[in-house]
Amino acid sequence: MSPLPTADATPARPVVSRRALLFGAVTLASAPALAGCGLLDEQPPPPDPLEELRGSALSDVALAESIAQGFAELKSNAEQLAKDRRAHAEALETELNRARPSRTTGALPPSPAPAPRPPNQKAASTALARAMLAAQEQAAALVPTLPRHRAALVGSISACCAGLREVLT
Amino acid sequence: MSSPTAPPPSNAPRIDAGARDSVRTALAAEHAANWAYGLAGAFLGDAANAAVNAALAEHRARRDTTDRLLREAGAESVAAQPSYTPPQPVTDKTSAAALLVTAETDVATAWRSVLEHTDNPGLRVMALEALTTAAVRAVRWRAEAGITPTTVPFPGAPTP
Repeated sequence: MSPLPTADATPARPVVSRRALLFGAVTLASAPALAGCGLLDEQPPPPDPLEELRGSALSDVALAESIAQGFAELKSNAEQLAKDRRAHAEALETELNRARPSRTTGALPPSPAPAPRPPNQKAASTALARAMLAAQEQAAALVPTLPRHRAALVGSISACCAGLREVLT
Repeated sequence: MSSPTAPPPSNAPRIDAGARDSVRTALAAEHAANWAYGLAGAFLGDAANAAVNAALAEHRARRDTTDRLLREAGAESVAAQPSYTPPQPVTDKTSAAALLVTAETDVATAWRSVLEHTDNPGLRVMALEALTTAAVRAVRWRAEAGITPTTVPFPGAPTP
């Protein structure tokens, strides 16, 4: 297989993008440096859309646990929220691993850094409500086009987050 | 001169053959919810009037829409039963609220099942909205009935 054109071949013209030669929607933000022939086998698969949902769930758990420790009046609701979002993260993890068994042997996507604890109870309550709205919408956006079993799982997650908003009201 | 018929909007719900049974089950659950609110409303007191009326209006609207969609798909629809029996007797505010938890849980379960039985995006959006509002109402009625926790992590999922 002949080598792909490189940037120094014809510097005066736009480089034939290696991207254009790869089929499929490869996420180049995370792609390793292209090494040469056979590289199509080395490209990582595009990220599973549930990874983001899992990340949000873990982030919400961290926020809620921090708030539960910091604000006695919010403890009960925050712990309830953490419990449900932890269940979401676990169910998403199970499905992510089922869909891509090699996932557990590679580096897992890092969980988002936990948000700092809000400065007062009002801000904390608002932060939780906003997080649940964001989570509800994030999940809802995926539901129309997911494979069937995922649509049900993610639909339930969205509905639960809507319910947690009701709890916080 | 007739103009070409515009294609239906791509987000319109469509009930394909494989989704019919699950949609019929959802419609049956909506009928039951209408009945449940009619019964429970009498016991819940004035403070709950607005919530009960809003729920009734929504369940009726969804019932009508679902019935219409089934007929448009050339499928048989589902009528309300002539009578329903509550799983537990309804005698006061707490038991009335508990009935509504059951009714909304059944609605949630049915619409979640629709999500699993269709690929049509419009029907999925409709089912998700129904599942979501049922889950939110269940939270409210659990609180009213003194059931804790007031949320479940996966509304509409079959309990193991």
